[in-house]
Amino acid sequence: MISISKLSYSFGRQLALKDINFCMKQGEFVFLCGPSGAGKTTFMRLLHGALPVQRGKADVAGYDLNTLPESRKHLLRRDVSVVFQDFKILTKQTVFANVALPLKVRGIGQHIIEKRVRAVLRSLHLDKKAGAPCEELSGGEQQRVAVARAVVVKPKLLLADEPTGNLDHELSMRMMDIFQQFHKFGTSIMIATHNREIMARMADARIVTLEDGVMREGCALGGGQS
Amino acid sequence: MSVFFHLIGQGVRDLFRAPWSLCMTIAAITLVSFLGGAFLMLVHNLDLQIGSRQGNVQFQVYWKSDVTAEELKEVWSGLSSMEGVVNVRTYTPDQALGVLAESFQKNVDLEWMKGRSPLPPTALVECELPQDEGKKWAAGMVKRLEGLPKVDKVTFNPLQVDLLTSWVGLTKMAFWPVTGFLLVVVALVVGNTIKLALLARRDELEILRFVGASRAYIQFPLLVGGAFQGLLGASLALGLLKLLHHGIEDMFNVPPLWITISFLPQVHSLAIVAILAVVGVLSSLVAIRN
Ligand SMILES: Nc1ncnc2c1ncn2[C@@H]1O[C@H](COP(=O)(O)OP(=O)(O)OP(=O)(O)O)[C@@H](O)[C@H]1O
Ligand SMILES: [Mg+2]
Repeated sequence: MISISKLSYSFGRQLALKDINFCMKQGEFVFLCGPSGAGKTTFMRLLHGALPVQRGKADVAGYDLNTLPESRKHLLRRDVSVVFQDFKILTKQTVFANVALPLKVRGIGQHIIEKRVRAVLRSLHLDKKAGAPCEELSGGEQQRVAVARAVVVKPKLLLADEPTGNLDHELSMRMMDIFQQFHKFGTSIMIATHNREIMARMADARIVTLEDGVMREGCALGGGQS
Repeated sequence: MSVFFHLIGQGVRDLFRAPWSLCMTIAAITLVSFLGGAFLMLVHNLDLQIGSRQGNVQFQVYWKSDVTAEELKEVWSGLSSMEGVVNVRTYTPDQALGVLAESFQKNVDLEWMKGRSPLPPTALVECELPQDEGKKWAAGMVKRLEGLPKVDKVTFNPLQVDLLTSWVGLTKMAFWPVTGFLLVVVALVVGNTIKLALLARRDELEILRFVGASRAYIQFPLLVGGAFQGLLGASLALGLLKLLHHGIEDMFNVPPLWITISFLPQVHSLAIVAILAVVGVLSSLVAIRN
């Protein structure tokens, strides 16, 4: 699903990712952990083409990011859904409109949109808020809207950047249940997180760590005390 | 197909999200295209005038007072068969007096002069000038008319023709630069509005991209927006032009001009609308690309 070799990325003179080699098979569930500023978000942005590949090679969901032109990036993004750390939802629009957006841009019929959006909203306990504008939602609710929008298209690969950052324990667990469900249906999932609880919940998931832009297998954060 | 119409609607609706910016842009486009349209109307009417008088020039031929009626009759009957002559009007001294009296209307009574008219026998000979070498031909014509028996003098007024022709020449010469200039202004205004719309919606467009919207899906509504502004501005300008035309239609419809100003032909009106729509689309394209 993802195949990265010798990938480096720098913002100006600051090197954010250093010589990363990483492979992820289809159907894998990966936690990406690491301290703040380690480069997790930068790595994810590279994976869905929001940042260009400066050095090294990257292949995601069958698309060669080194050669993928801007005009074809939407094809990559139709296979790779992202839950952004800052949500990136349309705050002026309703919950329903936000979740329906990825289906709409794919030209899917209104009837199917209606059904799928309702189902996803229900599973994330957002069905009562469907008609509310997102700016009236709490941080946790907005985060769930972001997740709903990402999973509603049944992506091949789901990249979630701190998807539980604003949620309490119970909601975090629910969210993981949803991710697990999609995982069962074959979606490959990568979650960037500091949250030890959700990592513990998925004991058999693979964990990789980013620290100072360097990636390695396993979790070095606190040695798994929690 | 429904996506197509949805995107068209989207493009128009997006414009109304910044109604003030839209209003000012439309106003600017309307004014500019009104100017352009008025200019086009001027050119069109000058063209019509030139067309109706195309190269026709009038020679006034005066005979010496000692010419006899028989001699005149013979010469006058031969006038209309001369080369290039399209119309001949002749005046005996008394008829010429009548015309003169008419032009004074009721104020002056010239009846007492009848039979003792001091005016010479006169002929107005209207000729069609050939397209090129018109001046040379006219000079030749003067020579030939002067050569007729007992002709005193021949005058014609090349100046009037020259003046009209040079006016038309000037406007024609200015046409493309002026049109180009106005179109550039429209393009800049529309481009700027689209650019502002783009900036205002940068976050939203970024989100659209991230959820998998194709480039066409994102850009098409913006192009529609550009076209819409051009269309609306041009239509309003045509409306204004119509009003202007209504006001000045009969302004010159007075003696001795008898000129009715005519509105732009339909083709021109359609062309204005179409061209502005295209300019709107093109400038939006440029705004998007940068
Ligand atoms: N747009 C940018 N311009 C310049 N530097 C940036 C930019 N984005 C990120 N960086 C830098 O790159 C490094 C990695 O940032 P990144 O956002 O990937 O960290 P992160 O692991 O996601 O952190 P967090 O856990 O706090 O979200 C940081 O040092 C940050 O300052
Ligand atoms: Mg981050």
